[in-house]
Amino acid sequence: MKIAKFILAAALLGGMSVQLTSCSDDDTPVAYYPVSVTVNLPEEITSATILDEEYLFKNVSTNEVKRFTSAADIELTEGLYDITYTAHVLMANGVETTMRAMSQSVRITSGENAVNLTAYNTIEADDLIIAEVFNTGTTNATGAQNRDSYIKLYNNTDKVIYADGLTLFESDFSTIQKYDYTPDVMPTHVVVRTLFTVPGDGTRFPVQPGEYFLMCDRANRASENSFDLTHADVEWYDESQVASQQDTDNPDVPNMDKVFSYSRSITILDQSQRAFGIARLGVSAEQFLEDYAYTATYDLVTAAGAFTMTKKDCYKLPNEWVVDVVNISPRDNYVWNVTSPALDCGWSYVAQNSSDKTRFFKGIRRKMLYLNEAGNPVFKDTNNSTEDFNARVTPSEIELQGTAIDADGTPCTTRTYDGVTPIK
Amino acid sequence: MALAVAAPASGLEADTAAVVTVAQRIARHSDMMRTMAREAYDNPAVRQWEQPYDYSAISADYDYSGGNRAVDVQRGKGSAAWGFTADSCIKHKSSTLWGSASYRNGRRRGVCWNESSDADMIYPYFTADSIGGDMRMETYSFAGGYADHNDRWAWGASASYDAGLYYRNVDPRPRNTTGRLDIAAGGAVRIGNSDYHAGISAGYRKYKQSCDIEFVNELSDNRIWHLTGLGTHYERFAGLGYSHYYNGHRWGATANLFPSSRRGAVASVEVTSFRFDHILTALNKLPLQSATDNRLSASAGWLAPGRVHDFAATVSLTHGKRIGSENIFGDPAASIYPQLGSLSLYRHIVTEAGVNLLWQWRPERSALLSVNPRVEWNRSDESYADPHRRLLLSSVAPAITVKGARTIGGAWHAAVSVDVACTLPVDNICELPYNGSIPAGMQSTDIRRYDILSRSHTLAGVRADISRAVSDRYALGISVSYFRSSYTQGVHADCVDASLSFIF
Repeated sequence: MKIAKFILAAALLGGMSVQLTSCSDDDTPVAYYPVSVTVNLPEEITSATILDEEYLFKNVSTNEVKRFTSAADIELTEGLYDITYTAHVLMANGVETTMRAMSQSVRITSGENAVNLTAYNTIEADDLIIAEVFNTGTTNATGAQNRDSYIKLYNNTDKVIYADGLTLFESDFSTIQKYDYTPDVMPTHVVVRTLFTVPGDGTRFPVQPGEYFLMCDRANRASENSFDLTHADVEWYDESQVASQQDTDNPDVPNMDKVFSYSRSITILDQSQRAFGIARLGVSAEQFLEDYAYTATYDLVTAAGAFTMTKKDCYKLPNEWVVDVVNISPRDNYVWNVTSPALDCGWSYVAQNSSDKTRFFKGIRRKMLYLNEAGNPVFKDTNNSTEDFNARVTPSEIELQGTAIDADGTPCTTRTYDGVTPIK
Repeated sequence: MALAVAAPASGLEADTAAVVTVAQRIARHSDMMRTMAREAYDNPAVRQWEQPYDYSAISADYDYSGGNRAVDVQRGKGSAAWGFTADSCIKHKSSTLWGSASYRNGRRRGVCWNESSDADMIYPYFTADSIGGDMRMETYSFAGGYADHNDRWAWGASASYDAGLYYRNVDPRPRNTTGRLDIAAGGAVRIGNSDYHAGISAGYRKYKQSCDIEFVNELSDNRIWHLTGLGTHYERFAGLGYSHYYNGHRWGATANLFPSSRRGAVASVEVTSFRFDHILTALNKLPLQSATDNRLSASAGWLAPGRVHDFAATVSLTHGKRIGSENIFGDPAASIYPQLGSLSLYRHIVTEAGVNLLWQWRPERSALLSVNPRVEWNRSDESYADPHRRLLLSSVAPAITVKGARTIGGAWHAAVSVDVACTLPVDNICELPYNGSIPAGMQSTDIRRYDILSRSHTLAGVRADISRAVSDRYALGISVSYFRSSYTQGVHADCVDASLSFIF
């Protein structure tokens, strides 16, 4: 009898165990939730015909990308997504153009989800584009940096463009540290901390179709592991207020006009975590400094609590003045874009992480699409830096001059249009 | 010397007294009948009936395992380690006291795509890099227990602590420290006037593994990934979280039916529930992943020891389900990621069933021939929900062990056993489509494992134990074993073990 009781108790325990280990839910443990996407079109396109459209949902956690060609029947698992919308549009005047929208960190939860996207018409800018950013520079054998960073612009059009008045800027916000700034001006402005303008009266620096315009930190001669930059078109020179840190000036290379720099000494391009761009200021530099100062507050959350901080000593640059911009972040530390998706829907990288010592001797270069009839490369420009740039490639000046590709002095033996496509 | 072969009902003390010399105890200890009801001994109250004699040993041993190719690269090609072990089980009147301690030092070889340790405990949430390599290891373990009984009741408790240090002195340099504390307590009641006891026990485990990965060469490829199973990983935190830890708890309970005479029916049911979290220390203790592993094991059998022939038969069934969940986080504010939700994406269902038979024959009092045929059916079904991936491996594995043992001249005892086993695939599914955004090496680990384990493979080995009593109380023993596993496409693995023991 007692054995029977024991067997009964064991059976109960076993029964509980079966319940514990059985497929208590079902064999499809992941639920998909409907997502309703509304794209707000720009005014000039509302009467146009959408030829085709594409919705890309990139799961931030897994990097898995799901593609839809219609807003109908979009279903996703719960998670955080970066959404990119692209549509080819036939406008009323017969011109075909591309329209884009982007929204980052969109949360998809259980139940119904509604997403609103604001689309921008990406009509090609009729100006210079950023062809290359070499912000990290090179190092010598002892590891000291050579201060040979540069940014190279390119005339991707079929007409002469003058670089005079073009302003090089660096964002103040970091792509690896996100705060909720108040006021939030990012939809309409880029918050910047460095601005240098190409001098000239409008005709001093013509850039022919298929030609480059080279802006560098120091237009120095070649040195150990570095290359010659005395042929640069302009250099950004600082009159440092710190005696121990003085800039060097090549008198044969014109200096850019310093509008503002966060640094009291010398301006060094950020090594990895800012956006770099070019703009044409709609007002004078003095007027800009007077009218476009930006002050914001944000909450800094630490283990000791949340503190309200104030951001100052930076300026807001209207988006409509921006000619081109590229967001750069260490690959593993990217958090957000610091410019509006109207300017850049993606980002590129040189460093693999924030402490990457292999970032030197590498830059980002815009992808070449094809060679035109004149034999000039035509570069990709979709306002999406992820798509437009080859990340972490050998800079063009290193290739052209055959200088070192690493601190050991290994000479470069390759020549490419864009860091990937070889020059035949 | 006479060998005590049959204990009277509840005659534990009498049985203990009957086995007096060390040679007798060695012969008794190598008897395969002792291990036929091993599941019941998870209840410390029942453990006191595992052996009715004192037996202690201090051993030094060396073991090696390795092959020409790893079956599962995340667990490595093999290992080589030396160590010391002390085991003791002491009877005093109605009490039983047991304990053990061990130290091992060695190297786990050829581990790739996994820099974490205790892989079977924390899978699939390994932290990995593309380099891997050998890993040095030092492990310590201490265990002890006490059990007692009277005419009606039996009770017992046990505790054990296992610690490990795993590291590598070249890049990448993981340094993992593991700690596992197990405690259990149980009781049993005698059923009527029979020698059957019905018992229950409860156990608790605390597990922690702290991991740090360092790269001294700043110019090397130093990216790490947090794997999520079947060739997937948590992309968002790739390259982050070089300091992390696993924190787990396990609860368990058993119910047992066991005859104190070790003659008659035995039955055990065990249920366990293990849960662990994988936390990135470097990101403000971000709870990246968690898994829950529920497992049910049941076994039943019959033990029939005799004067000339022994028979035993057991059947066993294990069913387990591990569900892995990945937490979803919003945008960080000052490096603190708010948790938005959780998705259960990984699932592993394990089912095992087996039949184990034993026949032993004593042609004379000092000789014993054992034949142990058995067959086991295994089914391992791993899946990842989105993107869909699945790996199903199932097989039937018949095996046989034949063992001959003889006591010679009252001082020597020799035993030789031969093992032969084969694993025959039954039903296999591999749905692991290539994903261009995931490193190829990461994806190939499971494909390589499938390629090998989805084909039939065999195991053959031999083991020899020789001991010599130097007095009635003390003996020296040597054991050596060699096993070879042969897989498809010429893949093979060898295991060698040698030990020297002082037995008392």
